Amino acid sequence: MIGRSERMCSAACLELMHAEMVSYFLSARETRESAQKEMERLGFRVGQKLAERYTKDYGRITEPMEVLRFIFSDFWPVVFSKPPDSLTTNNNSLYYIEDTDFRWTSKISVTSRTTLEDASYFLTFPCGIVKGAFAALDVDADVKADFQETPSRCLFTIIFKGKAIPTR
Amino acid sequence: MANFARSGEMAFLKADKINSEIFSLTYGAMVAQIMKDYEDIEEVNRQLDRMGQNIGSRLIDELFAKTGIPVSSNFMETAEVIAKVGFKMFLGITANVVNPTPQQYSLTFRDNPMVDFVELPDNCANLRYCNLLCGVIRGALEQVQIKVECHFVRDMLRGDETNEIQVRFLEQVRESALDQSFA
Repeated sequence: MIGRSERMCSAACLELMHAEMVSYFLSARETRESAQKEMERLGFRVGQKLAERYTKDYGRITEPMEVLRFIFSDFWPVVFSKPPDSLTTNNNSLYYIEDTDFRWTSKISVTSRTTLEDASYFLTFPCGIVKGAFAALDVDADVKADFQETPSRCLFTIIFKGKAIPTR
Repeated sequence: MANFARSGEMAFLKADKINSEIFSLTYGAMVAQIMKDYEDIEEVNRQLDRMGQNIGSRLIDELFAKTGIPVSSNFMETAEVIAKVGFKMFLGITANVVNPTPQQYSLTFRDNPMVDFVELPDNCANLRYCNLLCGVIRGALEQVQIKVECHFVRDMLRGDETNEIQVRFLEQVRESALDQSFA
């Protein structure tokens, strides 16, 4: 498993820091769109660096399908603390990764004051991370995420651009 | 004191953990962005401290909940709890308490996962890269009614041989006064 020998710190630190980052961008930027764009860009850079580090002893992954498999089974469990639940597709360019207990958002409580829409800003940075990881492995993909009723159930949609995934 | 070290170890063992490089890269990306947003480096330091304060006020709840250490508002006692329990259970490292007095103490540590992969560019001599930590300590102590001033006096990123955070006691806040300020 990648990153196993690395040193660890508490997940609470990362969760709280991420929450501070989200509130920093939402208050420092004039529009929510620009806040989201920048958080995604930051996540992208982090994801790129992580994927580069994690694949350095891995041999070269070239096939988009291998990259997807790498992200699903190796990258995700390390970065998001647990393996995702399922990987599905509806056609050649749309793939779905479902995580029913997504640790980066699972502690958010949705109340009358915090809506699911507010909580969705917490998905922007993680989407950027995944997108950056694909980019580091030469796959141009767009990544979106939505909550499935609660902030702990997340569905990530991977849209491949450019290089199409060959059907097998 | 040995008990605190053990409580810290146990809490860290039981905690949900992540690779610290995810934390350090995320933090680094955030610091870089804040530096782009503010020309004044002192303002960057303030922003990091403020973010830390919010984090600290949440982390201390977790510390008490997970370790069962009794809540203490004695300033000098907080030093060991922060150094041996707080640093350990959240960052996986421990700090040493240096020169504790009823007015101030220092926390020194060399190992720091926050700075893995960090190289400061030349143009940010006054940046306190880890100022978030000062805010965390300040925010945490505020929750136990202790107001402190907290800053880095030595920083390995700037060539010092160790990291040293100085914590200076300002005042004990009466609970009733705190309640009023939240009212």
